[in-house]
Amino acid sequence: MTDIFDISLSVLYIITLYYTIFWLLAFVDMKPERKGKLKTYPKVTIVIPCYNDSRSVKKSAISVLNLNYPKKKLELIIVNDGSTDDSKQVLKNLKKEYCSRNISIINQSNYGKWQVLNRGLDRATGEYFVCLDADSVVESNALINLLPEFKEKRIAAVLPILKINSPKNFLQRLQWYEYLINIFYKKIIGMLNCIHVAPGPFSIYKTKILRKVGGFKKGHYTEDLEIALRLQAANYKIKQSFDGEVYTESPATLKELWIQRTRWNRGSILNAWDYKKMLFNIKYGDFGMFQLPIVLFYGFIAISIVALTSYLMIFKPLFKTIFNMSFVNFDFLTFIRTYKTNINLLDLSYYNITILFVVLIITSIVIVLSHRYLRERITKYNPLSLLAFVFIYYIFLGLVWMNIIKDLVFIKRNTKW
Amino acid sequence: MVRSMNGKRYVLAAFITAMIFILGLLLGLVIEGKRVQFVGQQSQTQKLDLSSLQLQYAYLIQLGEEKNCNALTQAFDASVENLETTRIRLENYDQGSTLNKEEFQNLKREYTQAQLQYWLFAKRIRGMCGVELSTIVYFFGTEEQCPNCEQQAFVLTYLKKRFGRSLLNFALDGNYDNVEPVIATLKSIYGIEKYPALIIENKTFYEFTSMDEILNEICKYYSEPIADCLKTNQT
Repeated sequence: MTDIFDISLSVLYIITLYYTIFWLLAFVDMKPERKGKLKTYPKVTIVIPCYNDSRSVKKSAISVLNLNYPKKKLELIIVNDGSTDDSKQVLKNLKKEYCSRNISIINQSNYGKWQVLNRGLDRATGEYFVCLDADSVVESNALINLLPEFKEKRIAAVLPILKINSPKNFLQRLQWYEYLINIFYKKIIGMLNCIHVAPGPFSIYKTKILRKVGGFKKGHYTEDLEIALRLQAANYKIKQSFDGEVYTESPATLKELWIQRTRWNRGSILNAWDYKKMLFNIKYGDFGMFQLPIVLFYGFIAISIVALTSYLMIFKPLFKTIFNMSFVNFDFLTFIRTYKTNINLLDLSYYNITILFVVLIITSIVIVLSHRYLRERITKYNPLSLLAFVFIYYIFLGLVWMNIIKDLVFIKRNTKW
Repeated sequence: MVRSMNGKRYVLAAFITAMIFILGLLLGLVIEGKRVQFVGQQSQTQKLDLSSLQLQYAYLIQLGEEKNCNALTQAFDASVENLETTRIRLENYDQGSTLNKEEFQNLKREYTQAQLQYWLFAKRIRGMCGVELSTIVYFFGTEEQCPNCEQQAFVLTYLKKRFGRSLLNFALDGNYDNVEPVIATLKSIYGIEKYPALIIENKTFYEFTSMDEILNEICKYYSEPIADCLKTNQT
């Protein structure tokens, strides 16, 4: 605790700890919900945007057609957004194959996903509007399990459990854990009416409300974030369900993941800034006072924690050693040859140990609870991937954030945000 | 429409966060107490070691058993090394201490005295046993007073690793003169006002002294050239 870096890290740690405890308290307050059953089956419109997804769109569409829901009450609209692959033909064949079902195929020039969703919204005749990404599949009972969650008038959207579809490599397994924890986190913040994103795969909206707030907007290429913030600004509720599973494809390479996360995180910070009128505004309750600040400043906090931890634990000692070694002609051999272990537990920094201990305890609680509530086994995948998720993955996310902030501050400083 | 907020949750979260920090502080105090205890025990061991060495020395003198000097110098070197390891620990513990400052200061005083006793004892052993040995007394200050002290200590540690039993380092806190009068005496004798400062045998070096400068000096005290000195002479 000697310099500004240590103090900054402590402050960030306190903020993070406070937020985590707040969320866990909200979880403790969570009352068990009585799961209702659908008395009637409202009509539901499901829109699948398709852009060069010829290999996966059929699978997504079939998962919709296989939903355990009255066929007459399901309307499927697939919008081919100017695909350059054979999507058009695949969709044509699909319609032919399922000619008895209510399927509309719209072929249009490439306008972008938000325009596709609005096109679908214009055509939608259902009471509920669902978006399903063409790389995702939905389990058969998802709709029937999710619709009863619309218990209150002000609930504008209900979100499903989003899981990674059969993670094949190490990186996808890391994302598997991330998605599970994210759903658990959203369940908690959903209780506080603080959800700020309604992801593409199978978020269910009330069509009337969606139209009332003006449909989808570009939202810095993250229309799912923008619409959630707009719903919050209009004081509607977004609910996370622990029922109804959707499986989505995830980036398989670091490069793909980097691009995806850059888009998501950049979108979250820019959209949050667009809705800054809610920031620290008591009128918006927990969302304005508690959630939006963390959405907006999460990037700065993530960067600062990664940068400060790396500096204090890696770079500072490393530079110091290299500098000191320059005074002894970099004779590493002598140090290696004469090295003696002299470990004493009392030498460890109890301050760092306390932080590490608390972080590990909270992380373990979150991991266990998220697996329990989402009916998954912790041991489903190699424990190494879980360890890597806990200890390494955040560094990657910190680097993504660094890149985003660099772009926003230094390169695109004229961007109005 | 104004949304509701659960004010109690905000307060409770703040309270729990504060409690975790208080728990951390309490844990720190417990560990600090253990550290005082540990260094105190080490200090007792050091005292016993020194008495034992003095006894061995007296025995050897009385019996004229210089041929057994090797055992004495070996034990002496091990004791000095332990002394230095614990001294470094003590410095680190003292820097991070909160409530036990006084205990650490007293322990530091004990260690300072022990260092000087060992230093004097080293000269006596060298005289009697005729061992190839040079001593360096290193005065250090705070980071503000002495930005180069860390590098000076690093160079001395390195040389100790190179020379092993042939070199003895004794590190003394130059600011400790108001607590331990013998420091003030030494500083006055050797004219030390700034840090780092080294006393290599009876010659004083002020401010940062490079590895080569130290080697040039200590190598004078070895009658038979040792590898590190030869290397220095060649360069």
